[in-house]
Amino acid sequence: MYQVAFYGKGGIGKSTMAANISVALAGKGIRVMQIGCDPKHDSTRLLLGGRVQTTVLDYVREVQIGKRKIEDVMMKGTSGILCIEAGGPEPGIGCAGRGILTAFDTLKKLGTDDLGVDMKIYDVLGDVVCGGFAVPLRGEYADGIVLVTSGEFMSLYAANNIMKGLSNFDTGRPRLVGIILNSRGVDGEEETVRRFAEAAGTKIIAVIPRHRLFFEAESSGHTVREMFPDTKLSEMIDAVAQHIIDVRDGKIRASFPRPLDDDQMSDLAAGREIRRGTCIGAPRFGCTACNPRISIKESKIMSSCAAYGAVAAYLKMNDVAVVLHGPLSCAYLMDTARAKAVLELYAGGIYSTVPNHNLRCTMMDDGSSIFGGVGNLERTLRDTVKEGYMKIAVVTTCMPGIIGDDSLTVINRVIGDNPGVGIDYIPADGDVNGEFTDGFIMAVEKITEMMDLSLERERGTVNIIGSSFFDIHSVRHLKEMGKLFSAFGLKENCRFLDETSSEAVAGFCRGHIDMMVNDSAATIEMASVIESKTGRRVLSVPLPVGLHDYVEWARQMGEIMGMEKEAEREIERAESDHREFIETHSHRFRGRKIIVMNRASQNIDWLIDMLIGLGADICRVGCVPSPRKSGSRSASRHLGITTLDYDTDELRRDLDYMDPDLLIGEFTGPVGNRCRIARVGKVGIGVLPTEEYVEYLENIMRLPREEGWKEGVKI
Amino acid sequence: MRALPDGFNGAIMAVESITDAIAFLHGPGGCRVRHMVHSTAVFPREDPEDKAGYDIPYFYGYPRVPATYIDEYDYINGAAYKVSEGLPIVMSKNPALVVVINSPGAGLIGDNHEKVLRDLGLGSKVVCMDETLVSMPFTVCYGHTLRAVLEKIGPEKVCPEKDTVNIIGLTIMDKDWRAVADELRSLVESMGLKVKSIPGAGASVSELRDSVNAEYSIVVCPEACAGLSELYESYGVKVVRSEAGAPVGFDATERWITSIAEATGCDPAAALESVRRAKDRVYEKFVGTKYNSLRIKGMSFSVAGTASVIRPLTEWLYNYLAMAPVAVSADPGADKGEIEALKAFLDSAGYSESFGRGPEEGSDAVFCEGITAYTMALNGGCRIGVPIGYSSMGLDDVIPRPVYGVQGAMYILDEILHGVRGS
Repeated sequence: MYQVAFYGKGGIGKSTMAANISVALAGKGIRVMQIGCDPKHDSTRLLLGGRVQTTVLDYVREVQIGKRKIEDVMMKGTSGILCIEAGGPEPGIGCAGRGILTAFDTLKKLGTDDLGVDMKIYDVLGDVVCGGFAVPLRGEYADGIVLVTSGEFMSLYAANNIMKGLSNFDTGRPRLVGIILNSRGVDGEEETVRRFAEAAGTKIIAVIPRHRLFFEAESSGHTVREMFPDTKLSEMIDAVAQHIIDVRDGKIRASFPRPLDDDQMSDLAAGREIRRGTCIGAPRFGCTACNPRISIKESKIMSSCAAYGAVAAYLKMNDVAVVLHGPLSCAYLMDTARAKAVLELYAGGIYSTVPNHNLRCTMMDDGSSIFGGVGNLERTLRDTVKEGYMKIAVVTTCMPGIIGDDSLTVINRVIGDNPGVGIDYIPADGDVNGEFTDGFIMAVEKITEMMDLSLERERGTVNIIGSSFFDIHSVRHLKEMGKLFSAFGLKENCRFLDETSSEAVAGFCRGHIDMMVNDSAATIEMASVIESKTGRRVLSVPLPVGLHDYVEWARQMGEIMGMEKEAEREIERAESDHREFIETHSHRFRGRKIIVMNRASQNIDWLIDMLIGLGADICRVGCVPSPRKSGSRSASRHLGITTLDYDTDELRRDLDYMDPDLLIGEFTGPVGNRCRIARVGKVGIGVLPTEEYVEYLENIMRLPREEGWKEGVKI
Repeated sequence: MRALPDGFNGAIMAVESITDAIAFLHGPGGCRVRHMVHSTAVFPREDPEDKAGYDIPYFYGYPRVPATYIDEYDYINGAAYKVSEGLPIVMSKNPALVVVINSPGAGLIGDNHEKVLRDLGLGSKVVCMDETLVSMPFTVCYGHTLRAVLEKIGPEKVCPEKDTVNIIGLTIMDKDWRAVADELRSLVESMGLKVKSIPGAGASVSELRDSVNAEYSIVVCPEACAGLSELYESYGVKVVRSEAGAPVGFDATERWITSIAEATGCDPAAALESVRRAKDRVYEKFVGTKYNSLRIKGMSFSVAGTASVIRPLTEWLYNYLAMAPVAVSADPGADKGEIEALKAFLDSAGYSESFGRGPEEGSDAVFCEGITAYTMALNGGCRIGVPIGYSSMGLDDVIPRPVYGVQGAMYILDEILHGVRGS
């Protein structure tokens, strides 16, 4: 079987040429299939006497995989030509390129290669603007390419682009059959196209004049070749058909395209002699001017997406429904992880709000990626409003972002129809706008708009700001935080963002003090968003972890609350208790060789303070770079003894050379059982949890190096 | 909204179910991570000590579901260069097969994987799935992917081996699938048959190739193997399916066994004996604490999930425990025959109106995927929430608690009995 793709600028007459040539080929005894690849699905109209048929893409929207049949999307036309239309979305909606991909994949699976066809003709829309429209150019499809053009510059420009696309899919064999000049009657047309063809390494295989017979035939839904077989025009069409057959049979050689560069195209347009061109080679779509990437090493490795971050932020508000505009897989992956965590917190008595399931999904599928997903969005939004939600957030995944869904118009329409309902729009577009934290911050920026800036501060109330509240997600940690607060007469106002509501966020400005839960990069960024939105100042000292931070924090609280003396008393008590603790426990650590390996984004100053206090021999503090976020803070007060960009290779060398008693890190595996391993996990708030952590380390050093379960069957 | 996995999840997990295959995700890291975590959780394959060998591009420290980490640049400019660069790196781990799967976003770019394969000369060991299966039914796409893989790797038909079987329609997302595989294998082998492979649940590439030489393929859940069944039939493998649906509850498990016996001519006595022993144990427990059975009788229940699972479960809870089916909802991709049978049963029992109702309306007991079941139990939507759906990340048990087979029936009864305490 031989396959030919007809390409050219929109409206240049490709369908007319393709249909006429199909009839001519059939007249020569060739069994022909013509596949229209234009969303307006009119390629085969002239072969079907004007009848309309079901397009492949409409069909796949309706019929499930496994139940599809080729007969449902194929009709027999003039001279037994098999006719198929790929179909596609309305102009400006969805992704027609994706449509071509799906249509071709579906046709392959439906067995179009097994129908005994001798020749397939693809009639392809306009310009090669993306990978989808280039599908017919791929080696497994087009054996030959016919360009249809007029002498107008834009038409030649499109033909040149198609040749660039063809170069991109170089199969190692010549495939450019030639150019059909479909005349528009402009001055010097044939000469212009001839010059173009020569410069591009191909030739004109037919010059088709403008002729009233085309109009007459098409008006009655037929081809010239069928209605007026004995005319000069039909002779010309037959000649093109024969040319294609000769190329197929190897009697005429096709050529490799030499697309013109910008300067050459300027020469062509100006009527000048076309200069020798630079080799365009195989440019990438959409980016011919810059150096294309060639390796993953040039990408930022992101292990999460902005959409998930935005969803996670909004789901911390119990009265807000989140509509995820995207496929079900995204909703499933996001929801299972979050819901499990919430269920565990609730079951453990940490969450007091009854868990709910307030994530909705627009269920975008292949069909909506082709035809646009705004219909799905509108349906889901209206259903969510019907459920009674007054506050909704729409977060986009990569699918609507890539196909360019106009989500905002839909949102505004739904808001207009439902007074009192508020809908936030977060166009995270999957990972297009970055990773988890980027999406989280996008959401935070929106959520801060709910804050009522007119409220008066209430003395002694605290807003706690953080992207993650894992540090206080246990009953003991909550109690410890309560103790810290009560010493200074403080009480919680709003957790931003954790187990909260739009009402609590609205009352944020009632809080007297704004405090960060930790000093991670994300939390600092959140604090900065709040400061710029409200004009308030967030304390630079976060909730304390360990004695050093506690002292600093207590002094600051004493100052703010006018309780300096009480603060000093608290500090004295804490220092005394801590000294006693160190004395009691240091005998297990004194002189013990310890390596600490930590992520750049996590502050473990408290741990290093503690190990120094206990007299441990800290051989190394290695800081693993965070691949996800540049600019994260590194452990701050102990930078002098920290090895930055520490990796597992260095760790293995250290383990061999230093032979430590204990390795504290966040990993399992690569170091085997060479020494005891403790995890550096989330500790909690205050001094007590850090002391409890030391007791955990003591246990690790007394317990067997290897657990018995590892004797199970090796994987 | 119930959060269910879809066809994209199904395609990746289907490939990850093959012991020596790698699903190479052409997509963002965000899509990778959860699949990586989940496939490792439900089907750990690598020794954690080997992790260091994966500190290389595309794997970035983790063996499962390596990915191309596509980003905004790639969406605009295409990212075939990453597949081209990544495939040799993935192949360096010596898998028997690599299956390239597009993420929802990557499916829109139109990267030409076939060309990459041709250029790299990797045709025989790499399969590309160009379809976009997002938001399609998980079960259907799981089976569809297995079929596509099997077709592309080229099954090796030599000759049918008498009295050998494949067990099909079990997925690694099924609750405690390993325990199910062990039990069903044991039941089948007690009938004198030899299990050749369990495609979709721990079969290797060579076992898949050889699976067309089995005399029979026995269906567990028809939704998860419709396409695969057709493929086996085209190779002359006889497909055996129980009229009672999947082996869920004692009755359907017995019917599953007798269906196999009728099709193969084997003696089911030993297999049926194991069901009888379990039923005897339940009888003792119920007789001994009769108050429990009185508490259970008359309770209402809701069930949602795969049609071939919820149909036998509904019938069993109704007949065995005298519980009332007030809401029965089949997930997308349901087997038509199962739906008809389910409706017919509800009609005959006088519960026609229950069909199509979701569990959200509340009842005494809810049987569906874990997160919905647990959430409803916590917020008072039901008294007992029993997970029967796909594995939820991390909500796992050491003692096998599957849904299928004799162990499955015992698990369901345990959950109900524990739930009615104090009522």
